[in-house]
Amino acid sequence: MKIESRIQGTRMVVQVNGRLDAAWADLLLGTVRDLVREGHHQVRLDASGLEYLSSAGIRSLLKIRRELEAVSGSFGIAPAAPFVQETLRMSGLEALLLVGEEMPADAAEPAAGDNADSGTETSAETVAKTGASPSAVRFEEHILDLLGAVTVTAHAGWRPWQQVLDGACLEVPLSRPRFGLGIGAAGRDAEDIRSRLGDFVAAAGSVAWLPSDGADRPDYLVQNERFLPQLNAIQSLVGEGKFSHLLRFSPAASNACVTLSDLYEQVLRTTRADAAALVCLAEVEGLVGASLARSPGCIQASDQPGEFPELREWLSFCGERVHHQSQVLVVAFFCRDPSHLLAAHLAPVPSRPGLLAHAHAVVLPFRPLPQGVLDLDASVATVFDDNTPLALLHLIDDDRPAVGLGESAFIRGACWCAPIHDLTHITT
Amino acid sequence: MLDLRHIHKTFFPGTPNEVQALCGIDLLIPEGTFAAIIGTNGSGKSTLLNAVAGAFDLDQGAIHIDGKNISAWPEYRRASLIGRVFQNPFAGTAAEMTLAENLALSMRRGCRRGLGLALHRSARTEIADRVRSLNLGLENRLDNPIGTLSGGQRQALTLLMATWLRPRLLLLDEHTAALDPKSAAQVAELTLTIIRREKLTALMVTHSMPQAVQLPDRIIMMHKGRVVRQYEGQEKSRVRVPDLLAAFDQVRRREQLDPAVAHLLHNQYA
Amino acid sequence: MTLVIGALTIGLILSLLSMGVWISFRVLRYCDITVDGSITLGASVAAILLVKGWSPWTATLAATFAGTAAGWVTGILHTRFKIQELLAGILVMTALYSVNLRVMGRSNVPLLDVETLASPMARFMTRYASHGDNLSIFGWWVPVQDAAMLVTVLGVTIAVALLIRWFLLTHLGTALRATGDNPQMVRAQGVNHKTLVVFGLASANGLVGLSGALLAQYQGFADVQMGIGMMVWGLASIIIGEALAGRTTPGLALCGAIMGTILFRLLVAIALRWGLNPNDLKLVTALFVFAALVLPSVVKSARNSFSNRQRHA
Repeated sequence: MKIESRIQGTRMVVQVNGRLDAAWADLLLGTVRDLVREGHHQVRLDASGLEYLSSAGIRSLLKIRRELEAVSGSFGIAPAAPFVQETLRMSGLEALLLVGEEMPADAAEPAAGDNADSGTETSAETVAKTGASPSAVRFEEHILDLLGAVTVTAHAGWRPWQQVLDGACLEVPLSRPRFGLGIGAAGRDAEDIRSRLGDFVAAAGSVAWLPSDGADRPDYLVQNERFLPQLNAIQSLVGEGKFSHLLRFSPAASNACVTLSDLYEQVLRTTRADAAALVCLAEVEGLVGASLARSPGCIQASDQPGEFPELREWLSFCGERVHHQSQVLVVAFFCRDPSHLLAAHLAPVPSRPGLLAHAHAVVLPFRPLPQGVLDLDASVATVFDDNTPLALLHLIDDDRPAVGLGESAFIRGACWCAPIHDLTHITT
Repeated sequence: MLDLRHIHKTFFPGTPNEVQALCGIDLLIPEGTFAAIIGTNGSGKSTLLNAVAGAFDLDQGAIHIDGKNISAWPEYRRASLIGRVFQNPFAGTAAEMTLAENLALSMRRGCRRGLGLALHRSARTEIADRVRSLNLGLENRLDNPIGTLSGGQRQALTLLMATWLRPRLLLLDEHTAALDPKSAAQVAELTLTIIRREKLTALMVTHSMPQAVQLPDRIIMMHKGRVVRQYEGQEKSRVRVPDLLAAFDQVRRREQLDPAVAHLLHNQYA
Repeated sequence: MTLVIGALTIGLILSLLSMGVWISFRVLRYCDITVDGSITLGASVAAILLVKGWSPWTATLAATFAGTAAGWVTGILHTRFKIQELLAGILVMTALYSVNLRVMGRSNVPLLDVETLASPMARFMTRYASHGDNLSIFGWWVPVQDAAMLVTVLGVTIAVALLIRWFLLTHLGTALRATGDNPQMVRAQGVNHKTLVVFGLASANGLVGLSGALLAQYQGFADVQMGIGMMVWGLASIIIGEALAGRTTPGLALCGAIMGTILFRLLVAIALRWGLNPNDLKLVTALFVFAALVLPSVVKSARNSFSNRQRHA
């Protein structure tokens, strides 16, 4: 079988020649998945050169259709060889898979935002294509709520790397519409979780954290009607409010990507604020970060976990750029002003002097996102649905000369953001 | 029961080739436990097995089997307690001697060897019976040189020889690594059958993660001459190959965490 | 006929040496050059004791033990002091040259009119000898002395061969054979392979000493030079024997060693009769062993390249 793809107007046409049977079905599925990953959500299959179509082939076509529907794309077979039409008609799939002659014009493109649901108010929506975006990445700004802003509740019951004192733990509610990050764990009480405290990230009712009791993968909680997730945390930054903007970004040139600090700068520019917060769903170019390997709750008075080499016992560093092409959910708080009240909870970004940030990311298997304006709650729910988190990292900017791994970067994604208007400190 | 206390071994000390092969191994393998050692190349797993078998003297530490301190015993004397199967299928048998003669040798492992005939009639019958139980059809080839058999067959016979007299400890040094996949699976299955039937205490070195997950009761993970992790009991039963790979990855990452990274993390891990 | 009887007798005597070399070279896979010294040691010990009036059996036994001791020293040098096997043999062989001179007191001890192992048999035969000192065998007249020596040596060789065969089938003997085949495996089976190497070398050189003792009694003298090239001689015999009988079981291999030695001795006797210069004998023997060691691989590669050429054609 021979597969060729070409762009025709707004659509991606995949031309298939030869036999589409069990032996080749997976190759076609993989090829189309790669195209979807690259952002082509309108796919047509040119089946005029098809010689044979088996049930396994039909199954793969249905699968492609289902996956494209999930990202609000479209799929159809046009043109099709007469026997293909006949085969599909007999299986009763004609209506699902065959599309008639279409206008190959841009008119077929669905209007941007027509699938935005009511979760976010799109009162004054405009689309602006910013030409001068860094590193050949195309940014698309969608205004969600011009008055959107978040209030941040900061809690620092533990200063690294001291002992965790009694009462340092706080129950932190993390149900919608809150989002946040910090160090905590799920459990009955402060004593119960003492040996399991790990990095966590929460957004849109989904909470993932990495228990530090030897588990190799993150655990997670998802909100439903009855269950409101919360963690016992010794450190947390939780935002609550309405997002003002949604930034969609995708590469304008091959191999282009957006670094985390590019994203910070872009958000600060867009929101015209000194301090902002973001929640981002994206395809990973590479992540650089660390996570707790042992619970800070286990620190004894005699330990010096902050010092090398003892630090090795407590923190695990990724060592290379990891999780290429996976999906990531990032929550970050950042500001440009070192005197900002929030700055106490952030760390400087070495490659961007003046910028301070704190970001956690949870990594999941890749799933394509629909284009245009997205609803955060629905998107996060989709990403966590049926997927187990692979890893959880506290993102680091590694600026070591020569051997540095650099910053975490993303290929394409959606970033919900808002300026930070208010900050509450909780002391315990 | 195998009890290793604080085992140290450095090869070529004081030369540029100095290798710290074993750096303080403490290990307790209870009676009837089947443990597998996994580790990267050069992690010291085979060295540890050789240390127990007595291939070299230890720099420091003690080896106890069933409470007996065997640290000072020479290799051949330890064989009275230990049965061994090697990675090389040709290492465990004498190629030019017949199957029956090889097996007859193992009937007196660690016992005095006198001037009685090695292959008297009752010995022959017993050998034929036990070889038949392997189901390899070798009982008709008892008088052929063992060198005419395949690697898998020889390894199965080596296993039979190592366990002919019930050893207090069975050492398996990547004994399926040099075999083709089918023979490897057969020998692995035979290993498990014998170990379970005889309730043997066994220590197996393996490169195969699926094997480490399937066969033993306990997994010992080594890196650079140290035991970095052990999985036993319930934890062992839930462990899968990706978990082991992730654990190795973690060990490797830990190693990359140098003072410069530590400084970085210290600054940014607020 | 005298030629045949002589070759048979020397062949049988030297087959003891061949069995010794077979034990070290084939069973232990140990290239033991001590043989060149220990055969002389056996001869000189036996000769000097006979001259001093010891009984032939005691003298022969003492010579055997002397050979055993020489082999033991080589074994200890190799296993305990980790000297390479060839060098250990050379050291002992060199040392034995002086020892032999010391034992004999001079470079040559003639055995004239002394009681030998064959003497009782000779007396027995004389009683039935029809014609003075000669014996009729199938119409040939043979000196009684020669016939008695042949019969005695035949008895000793067969007895020794049977003893060795029996030993190699015992538990200990099986372990000894495995030692040469795979020392690692032998250790894993709880046997100290070093002890077995020492033991094997000692018994091999014991056989060589015995062979030397008989040789001295047959030839009627012991000479300090008589051992030179004996190891190669033994090798040649083993190689011929393996061609005749194969090497599958210890019994066959031993038979082969005996037959090979006799055949080789006959060939040498015929060659000498045809006018081969005795001085060239050792060169011819060495060439023969060289050819026997190299030919199989040469033939094999020639056959391979031939079949390759055919395949390409």
